[in-house]
Amino acid sequence: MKRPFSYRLNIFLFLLPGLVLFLGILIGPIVMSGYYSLFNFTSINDANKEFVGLQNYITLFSRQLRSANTGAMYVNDKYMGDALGNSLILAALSTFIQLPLALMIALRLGKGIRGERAYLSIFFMPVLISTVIIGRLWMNIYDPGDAGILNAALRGLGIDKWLFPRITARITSSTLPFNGQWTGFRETALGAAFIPILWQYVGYHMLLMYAGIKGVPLDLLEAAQLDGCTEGQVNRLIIVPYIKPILRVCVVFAVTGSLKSFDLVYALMKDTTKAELPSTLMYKLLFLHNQYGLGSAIAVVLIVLCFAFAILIGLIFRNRGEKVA
Amino acid sequence: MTNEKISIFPEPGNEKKHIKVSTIVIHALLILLVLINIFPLYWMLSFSLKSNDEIQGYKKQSEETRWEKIESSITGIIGDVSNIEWDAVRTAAEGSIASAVGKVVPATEIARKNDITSRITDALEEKWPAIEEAFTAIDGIFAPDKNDEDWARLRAQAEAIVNEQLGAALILEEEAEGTSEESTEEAAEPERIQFAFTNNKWKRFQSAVNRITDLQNADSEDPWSAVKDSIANVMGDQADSLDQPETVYVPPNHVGLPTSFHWSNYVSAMRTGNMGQYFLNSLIVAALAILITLLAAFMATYAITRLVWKGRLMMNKFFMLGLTIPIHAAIVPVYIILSRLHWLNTYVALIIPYSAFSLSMAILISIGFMGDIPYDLDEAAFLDGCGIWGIFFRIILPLMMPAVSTVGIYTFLQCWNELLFATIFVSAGKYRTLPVGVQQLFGQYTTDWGPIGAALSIATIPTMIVYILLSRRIQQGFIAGAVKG
Repeated sequence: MKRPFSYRLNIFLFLLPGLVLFLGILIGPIVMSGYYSLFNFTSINDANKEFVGLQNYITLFSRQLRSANTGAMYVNDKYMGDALGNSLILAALSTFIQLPLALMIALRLGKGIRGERAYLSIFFMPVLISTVIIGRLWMNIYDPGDAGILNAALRGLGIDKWLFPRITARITSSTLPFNGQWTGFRETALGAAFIPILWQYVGYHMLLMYAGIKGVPLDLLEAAQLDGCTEGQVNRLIIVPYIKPILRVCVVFAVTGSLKSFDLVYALMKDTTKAELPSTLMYKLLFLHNQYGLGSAIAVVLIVLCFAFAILIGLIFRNRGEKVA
Repeated sequence: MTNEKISIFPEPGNEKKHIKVSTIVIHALLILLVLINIFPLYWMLSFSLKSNDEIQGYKKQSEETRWEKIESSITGIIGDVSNIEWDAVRTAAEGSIASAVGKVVPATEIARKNDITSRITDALEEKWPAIEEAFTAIDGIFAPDKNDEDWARLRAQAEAIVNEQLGAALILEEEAEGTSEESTEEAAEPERIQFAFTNNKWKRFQSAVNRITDLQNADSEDPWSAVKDSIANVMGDQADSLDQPETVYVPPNHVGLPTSFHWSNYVSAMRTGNMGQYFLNSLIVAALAILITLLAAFMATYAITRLVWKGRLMMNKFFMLGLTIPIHAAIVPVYIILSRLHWLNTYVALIIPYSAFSLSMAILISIGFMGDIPYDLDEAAFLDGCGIWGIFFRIILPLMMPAVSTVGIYTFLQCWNELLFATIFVSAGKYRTLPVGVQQLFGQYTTDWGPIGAALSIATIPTMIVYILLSRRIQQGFIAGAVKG
């Protein structure tokens, strides 16, 4: 059936605002990022970009990162490998600590307990607070001085005398003694960044899992109970497989969220080199060193990784689903 | 059958008991988690209202001078000599004088020990010699037949005792008659020395105190200045400190409520930190971004779900690509576009990108909601002569109100909390949004936490109020987004 032109025009007009935004701000710029990542340029008004091919990517992943135009060697705190490693550690911590914790609480709440709504609402609350604010708040919590509440608590309980020398002994990146500067050392900064992330997002994952658990048909649970399933068996054999799609979403969110993470580290630390992430590295290269080519290369790596992980996680969950079924 | 069923489930009574214990444990754990969850927020609010001194801890001068403290503690001891328990007096005096002089033997620690000998031995170990000297001096001063000779003798006596205590018992001055004999005699039996010595010392202290009382009663001279002189004499270099008020460190008030409410923190966050302006900016940006997102998403959803054309499924998938694309991906090109258009540091610089990045999720949520609207309505409207646009604006839009809140809330939170774009695209100027504003407070107040806490609270409280009012809706928005994605 051939539709009249006016009908097709209308379809186009309906799609127009969305397409303009989508193509103009998302798809177009992604293509442009890929294009820019092949050039070396330090001024956005620079018409004479120097084509360097894949050199930006090589530079990014080589430990001795050189400025493409001056040849000056950057110190290796601008090394993408470290940043990527950090974000993968963060992703692993999120997946294997945050999600199981969220699942445990969600299982408990989802099976009905007095006040479950109230608990859920409170746990979810930090999700709504700006990550910058959380970063700044936790910066104060970690403050090494008298005002920082974490160190004050450790000192008050006398744990610091036992703990701080042990941490100092493990610190190899610096000769300074550890005295409560949680965000000041490479060895502790990433962990210090993970705690607020855990604190903020555990409620988010819990909410999703809770919603999933509430969607498990009651018949299924009753049947299991009649068959003499213990609570653990019900959780393991019925609820978890049933909410697998949601778990997949949670894992994807946790992993890509860690890859993209910027706000928290940026707000939490004055010196992000202690827990460098790809996005903080990108921010530095772009807007402190004006390395637009290198910055674009990081953007491209991030996009590729986000998609790759989303697909990979999808595959992992699909395979397991087939095995169970 | 019925019998079997009953046997499968636990007896009602047993079940109840079982549940009771475990639920209490679970509730306790959950409440603990709740406390962990809300503590940072409570802490933020509490330090936003505290003075900087209260947050950081500070040094303050006590109202009494050190001497006044000693004086009042001695007065307290000898106030009513009549029914005094000397043991208690000793304990208190040791403690108070020791702590006042600055060689700390907390009175409580001493009082805890019942055995007098061991107690004094403990105290003697390090801290006693100085006090001992002070006592000796007091002793000397209040001797009724005080003259230079006596004074020298008493000094020698005191020295001897101190020396003995330090393990140098044999180095004694011959002139100190009675004591020297005693000391040499007792040097052979260390344990006995100690006991005799402490008894001896105690007697002297007792008599000194008695004499102070006598003097006070007799009103002959100002006893306190004499005592003070003697203690000052013993203290040597540190004597001046007797006349000065003690410096007391007041630790930070970490978890308590503010002792006084410093609303001035909020005033300076609003004035110096400009939080009011940033708040308004965030509101404007979020409102306009929501408006654009809603319109674009509803129109696109309408075209995808209600209009029949080839490739609409493809189009849907195309839009869904946006769900996985990180916001960073676009940063350089968008920055370049915005700067070419001279849009950097304007509201538009944020509104457009925010709308674009919220679009995919908005479409995803809208598809669910629009699918619930019966197709019959479209047909009826069409038969009544409505065009496509008419159907969209008159039928669909009014029925999409539930989606407006869900999409709106989702978009609002994206915009309200976003930092990366905001910090790059509106780095300077009066168009900063709240997150950027909070971030730049770094430089302004690094040590003054009050205004920082106030700024953080200003940025957080409105979101919290909205959440309390709309918690179920907001949660549904998040669930809808994630579950369908």
